[in-house]
Amino acid sequence: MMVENEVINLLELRENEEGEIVFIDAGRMAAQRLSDMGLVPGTRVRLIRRGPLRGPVELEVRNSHLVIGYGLASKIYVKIA
Amino acid sequence: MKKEIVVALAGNANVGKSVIFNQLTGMTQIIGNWPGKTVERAEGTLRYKGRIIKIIDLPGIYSLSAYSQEEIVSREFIAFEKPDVVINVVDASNLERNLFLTLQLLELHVPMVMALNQIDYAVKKGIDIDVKKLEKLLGIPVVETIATKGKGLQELIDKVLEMVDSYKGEDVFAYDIESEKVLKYRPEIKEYVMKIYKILMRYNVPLVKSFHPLWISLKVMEEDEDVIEKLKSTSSGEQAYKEIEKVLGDLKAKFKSPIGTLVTADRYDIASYIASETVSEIHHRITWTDLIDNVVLHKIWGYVSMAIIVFLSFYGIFKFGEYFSGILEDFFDQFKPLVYNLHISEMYKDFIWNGLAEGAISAVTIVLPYIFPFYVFLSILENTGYLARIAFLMDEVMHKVGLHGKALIPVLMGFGCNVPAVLGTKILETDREIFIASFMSTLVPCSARIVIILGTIGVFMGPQYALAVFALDVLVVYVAAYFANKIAPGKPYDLIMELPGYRMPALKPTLKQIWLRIKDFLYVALPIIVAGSLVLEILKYSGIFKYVSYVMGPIVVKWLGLPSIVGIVLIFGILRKELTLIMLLTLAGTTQVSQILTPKQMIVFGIVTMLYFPCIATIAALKKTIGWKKTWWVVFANIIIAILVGGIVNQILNFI
Repeated sequence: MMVENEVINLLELRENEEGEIVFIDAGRMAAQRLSDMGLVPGTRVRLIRRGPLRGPVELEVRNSHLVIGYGLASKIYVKIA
Repeated sequence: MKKEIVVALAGNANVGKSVIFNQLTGMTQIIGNWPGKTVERAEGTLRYKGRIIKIIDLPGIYSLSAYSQEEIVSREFIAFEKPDVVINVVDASNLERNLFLTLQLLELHVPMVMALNQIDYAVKKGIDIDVKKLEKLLGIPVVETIATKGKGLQELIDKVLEMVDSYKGEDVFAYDIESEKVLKYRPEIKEYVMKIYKILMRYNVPLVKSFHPLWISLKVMEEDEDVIEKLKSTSSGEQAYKEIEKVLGDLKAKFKSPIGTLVTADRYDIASYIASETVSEIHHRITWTDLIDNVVLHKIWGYVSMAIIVFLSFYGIFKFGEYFSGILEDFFDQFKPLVYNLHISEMYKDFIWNGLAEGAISAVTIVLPYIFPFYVFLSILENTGYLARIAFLMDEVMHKVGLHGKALIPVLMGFGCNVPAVLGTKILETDREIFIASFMSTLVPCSARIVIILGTIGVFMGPQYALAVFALDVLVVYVAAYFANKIAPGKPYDLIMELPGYRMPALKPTLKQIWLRIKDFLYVALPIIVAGSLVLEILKYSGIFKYVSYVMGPIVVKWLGLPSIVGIVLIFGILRKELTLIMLLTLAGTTQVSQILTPKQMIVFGIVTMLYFPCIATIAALKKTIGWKKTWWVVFANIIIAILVGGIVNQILNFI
């Protein structure tokens, strides 16, 4: 069972599950790239689908769809909303 | 009244800036439904109500930070060229994300008008926007537009003119951040921005002449390296920066996270607030995009559908080309006796027919029937948004060569022409990615090379052999990129990209785009082909080919197993790839390749032409994108790869 408000990695979200970004564990550059695309702490995201193996994930963020590579996505931590 | 006006179009990628640009200027900037194809800024002119309005289409960007070339180009254009008005083009169906850039443009304090574009698409998605309220909250005029249909554009330009005529400039000395109606950051940020602002003014730093001090203050706070470097490049700026650093130290002590993240978070809070006040989603519909994506991005069906789409495109192009090529060839062949029945010497007959006519005829009969359907398919894939899906599907594969899925978009465009492919690699973030992707693009057969392969191997041996050569090319491109990745310094980047919704390509702009690409062939390539054919015919009579064949003989004849004249046509092919095949035919005085090359030689010839050297236009594009040094490296690598792969295939074919 998932404990409420437990912080998990974005990649641990199930398809169609929503989460709220808690923190981003990345260097300045990667954090800047993510925040420029609207991913900052407090942002709600929904995982739409993931690619096969270590493929990218598709997220719904701020009413639009983003594709984020596996490595970059693994730096985002969320709590289940 | 100002007669000459400069207007810049700024906005996110893929919101319709290029469409607005084309509509306003009547020019033809290539459009497409994928983020980032305006890599160089385009300029055009509109004459309206007695004014000359120069319009600049800036590349699509999401932010004004300095992390990509495009963002720096855009903000420097606005700062240094000082457009009279910036038109911020936004996607109405995606207001919140777009507002993030709008806010950053407002920070620059330039006169601005918003074009709320793709209103029709927003309505389809069930989104309603309160335009009056949006105008009030942003403090700038907002005009609803549907650029593809030209709707709202006249009103947009009227608003721009009104803005130019009423703009009075601003006293930067009397500025106070508390008077900002839109940019309401948290109190600590506002307080420190004003502190930095005052330091900048006190030292009278020269940078203030280009950028508004508010913007500089925010950027310094966000630790924007480019701005800090510019600031420190003057002595007064350097002194100011020393003082600013001290002030910023206090601010940093108050917060755990970097200040840049806080400023970004505040901007997003403001954007969300404005969006929530103005956008009402009447009903959330399951869109077509969602349904299609469930299939084409599926773990299994996604790849199956990609294979089917690629195969059908290939087959469609081949069948269409084969059919029309045959008809055109029969038609033109009737004219040959007319020339040879003339009462002039044999040499002149050869000049007229082989030199002037044959080159042009080959171009029209062999090249055109394949180029046309090719560009139709490419435009469809591009404008519907499917190319971005390929980026999703192939992201992991591209990772192995140090790139990400988005890099595949320009590389795939290389199948049309390598020039836009190489220039298009600028959508990538780092020099190393741009280098690897440009290198890959040069090895991707452009339409000219595809035509050569289809027109020789495809026609005389069967389409499955042509497909096998393309499959070999995919392998070569991948292996080459793998090695380029190993030797290029630096670290790979991960993908981050907006996935555009599917659009039905609007018929007129799509046709215009196809025409533009074909026009390039007719106006640029055709004259070169005719001139090249004539020169070749004259050289044939001069007897110079003996020497060329002698020099290139060992490689062309011994190692590659090709007729020695191929060496000569390969040299001409550097001008234009179509020339290799056309000149081969011209030299042999036939339109049947099978009379010159055996099937085995066709395959080697196809492979060598596909890989051996970027054409001059591509070399120019490479120079612009990666500089001379890396360009020569790419050229050298191409030659080696062509000789190696062509030779090995020849030896294997000899064996079996």
